[in-house]
Amino acid sequence: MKQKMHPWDSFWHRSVPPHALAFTRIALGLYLLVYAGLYLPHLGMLFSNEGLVMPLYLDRFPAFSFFLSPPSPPVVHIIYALYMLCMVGITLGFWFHLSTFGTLLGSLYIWQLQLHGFATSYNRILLLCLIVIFFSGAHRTFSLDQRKRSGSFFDWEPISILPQRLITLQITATFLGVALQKLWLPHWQSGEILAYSYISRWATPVARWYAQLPLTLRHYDSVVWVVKILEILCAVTIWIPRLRIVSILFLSSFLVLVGVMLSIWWFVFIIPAFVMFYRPEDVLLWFHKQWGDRISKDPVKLTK
Amino acid sequence: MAPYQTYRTHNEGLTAEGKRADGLWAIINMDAYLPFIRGERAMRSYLLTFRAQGDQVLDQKYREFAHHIARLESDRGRPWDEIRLTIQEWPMSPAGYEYLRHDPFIESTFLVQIP
Repeated sequence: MKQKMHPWDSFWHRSVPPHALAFTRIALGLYLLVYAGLYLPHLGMLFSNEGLVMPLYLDRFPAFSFFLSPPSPPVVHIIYALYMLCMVGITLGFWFHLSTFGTLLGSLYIWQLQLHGFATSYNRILLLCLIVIFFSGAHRTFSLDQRKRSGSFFDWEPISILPQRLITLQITATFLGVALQKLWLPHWQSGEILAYSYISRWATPVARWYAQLPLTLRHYDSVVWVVKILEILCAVTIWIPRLRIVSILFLSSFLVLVGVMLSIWWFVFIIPAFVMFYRPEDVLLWFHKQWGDRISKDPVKLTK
Repeated sequence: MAPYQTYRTHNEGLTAEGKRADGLWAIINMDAYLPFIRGERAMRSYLLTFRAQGDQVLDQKYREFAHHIARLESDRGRPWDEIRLTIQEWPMSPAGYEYLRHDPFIESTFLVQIP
């Protein structure tokens, strides 16, 4: 009984080096800074009472209008500055819990003000990631908090693997869900969806160029079927060590192509998170190999 | 559910028009009010989160949208006597998104008009 339980516990609960999760934390922080930064030139228009803002909950909960109404432009700029400061905190691992909570709160606030109008799956995955990393210990290395705690940015303390597992399973579920629905949705039964998408409102100049090539519908059919099959396969094979790198290369290429051809670039934040499919112990060894003794193979011993 | 469940074989876009003092209607440029990439702008113009609450709410929100446009235009020294919102449809073309967005290819569906 005990032997059967061990792999389960090991998979879900063992203590591991935090480097894979910390790397993902840094990438996520940088991504959020870029994403939020794109709105900077338009803050007044997007989030203030002098712009075009239609909050989601204001009509339903008028008693909370102080919080749910769009604020004045100066207040928006102050809130947004704090919001982005929190993202810097996530990236640097500085006041990590406060920074993550602030980013989460800011994200929910701008969601109800404006982002709900473009209610996308990637925004929901981002919120989930923020909730998970809040509890994760992702700041237990490569962070200013760790430097404050033990004296070095590169010291590390073990963390539970559970948050890492939750995020990787969410990524798997996302690719599986996206691929499985393509198997039964009527509009995904031929390549027409791809051909029309390449001349649609989402199309980039690269996609329009591609659409002008003398390709038949059979070509688009083939591409759609390759995507459907490989998305499902890779969502599974990414868990198999021998097939992991190939799966990551395909899934990363897919996400990049969706950005390059259809301007839907937001999902690229998933790419750095693929590192969490590797064993955290192997990720530590990789960092140790790259950066030498600066990154110890052993956790720091804290004396109280 | 994941994105991209369906596709269209025509383009469509939310259009705001203002009625001038001489009684003629003119297209209002909303680029500054909807600073998003084309796909996101189109998705947002469906007001999906309000659409899910029913036709009455949707109609009320499109009116609110039109009032916002009226205010923003007035702030920029362009007061309009009336404003109407329509959804324009036109054929797709590999030559460009708006390549066929002109007569006789455009079909318009009326949404709301204020005041």
